[in-house]
Amino acid sequence: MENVIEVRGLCKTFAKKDFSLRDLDLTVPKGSIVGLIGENGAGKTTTLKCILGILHRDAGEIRLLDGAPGAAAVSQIGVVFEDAYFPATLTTRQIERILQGMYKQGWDSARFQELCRQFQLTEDKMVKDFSRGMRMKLSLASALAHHPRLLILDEATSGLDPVVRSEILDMFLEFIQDEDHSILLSSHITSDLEKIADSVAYIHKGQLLFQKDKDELLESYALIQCSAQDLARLPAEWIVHSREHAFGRETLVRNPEQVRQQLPNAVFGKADIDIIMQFFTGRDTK
Amino acid sequence: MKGLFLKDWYGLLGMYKKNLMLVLVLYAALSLILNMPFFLFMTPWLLGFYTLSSFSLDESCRWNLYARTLPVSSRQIVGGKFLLAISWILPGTIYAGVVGAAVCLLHPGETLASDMAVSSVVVGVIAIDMISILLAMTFRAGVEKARSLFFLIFIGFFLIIFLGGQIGMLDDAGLVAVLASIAAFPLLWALGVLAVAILIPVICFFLSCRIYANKEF
Repeated sequence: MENVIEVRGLCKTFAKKDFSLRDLDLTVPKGSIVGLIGENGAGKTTTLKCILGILHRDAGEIRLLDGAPGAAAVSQIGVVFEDAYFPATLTTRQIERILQGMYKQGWDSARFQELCRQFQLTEDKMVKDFSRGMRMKLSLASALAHHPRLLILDEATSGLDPVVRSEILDMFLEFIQDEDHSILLSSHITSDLEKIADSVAYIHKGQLLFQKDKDELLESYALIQCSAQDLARLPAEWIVHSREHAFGRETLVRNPEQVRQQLPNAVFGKADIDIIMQFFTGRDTK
Repeated sequence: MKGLFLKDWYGLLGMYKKNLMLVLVLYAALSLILNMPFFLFMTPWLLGFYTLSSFSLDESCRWNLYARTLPVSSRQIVGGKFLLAISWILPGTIYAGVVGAAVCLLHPGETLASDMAVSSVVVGVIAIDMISILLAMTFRAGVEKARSLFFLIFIGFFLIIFLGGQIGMLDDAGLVAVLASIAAFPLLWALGVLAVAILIPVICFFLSCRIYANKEF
């Protein structure tokens, strides 16, 4: 399958922040939505910035739409950050003229206006007068109006109400319908990713723990409740992390089917992305 | 580059339009009433400083990060700022020349309207050069630090001249020698000054491009 993003062995160190991305691999296949998850400060935004060429990488290879990160590639990409990064006094109409001046022939005014109508963005209203949801819609309209092949979204749905989020997620699904468009989406809202992502990449403390097909990921872990003695019967590599609370012991395990055979009396529960993240993070903080 | 240019113009006018109009009217009125046309020489400088505020606007909305995701090169981003500065200083220079000449005509005295116009051009060129240096400093250190540093250098420069005069290091003989040299080789001096005036923004532009290309947001 053709990849629109290929990251191999990406390294980036911030000496002052005492943080580094280490040997990170990531792929975004054409026609898919890849969700990037990880706790705050895990390195999601740094990864996206390296892919876009905003940050200079220390080592590793990045291929973006069959080329290196740079001006040629970004003209085919739409980027949405966690807020609209336009000066507060600009109006929607002014933003359109500004972006038209940058994308030139690539800019589709009719598409931008159509999106503004759809999002109910008033032409003469200033950015500062928009709600956060409206600002995100403005960012999205700006990112889509030049018909990008790839969308890169950094926490684009955070802080939005469920109605707006659902609307935006529908747009993302619509965007990849023709299987020629792709999305790399970093988000803390794992329920969004469960709804729309084809695969999930988990970054933890600057390292990629896994990138897996979403369904395969959800099937390959389970949350079980059993005693410590029962747990001791499982091979150590099957156990991600176990924690004890007032109502018993919860453990995230790999290979649920095999665990079920080994521990038929254990209570099995579904491990969603949130649970998987919590337990992987808990494993390293215990 | 057109988009970058528009972004800064819209941003600055949206933020400072009323303030700017008030200043221009006030300067004209004060020059006229007090018969002080030289007061207007502040205008090119003032407009140049307004353009530096576009950096503050960029910083406040994290525009620089967003700009890196748009199809514009770092050279275009830097070039946009230099063009913006020139596009504000030039009208300021014309304003100072025209209004200053008008004040001279309304209050006939020692200063000729033509002298006022020529002086405005000289002030405008100096403003472009100084703002170019400030732009390079701003790309390097950010707008607030660059402004403070620039004023410190400016004050330091005049302090050296003042103290030099006080302790007799700078005497009239030096000035007389320079004036004599200008009188002897006027074309050479004119070309030299012109070359320096053009070279300063060019050097500052290339320096700024280099600084900006290495920046991370």
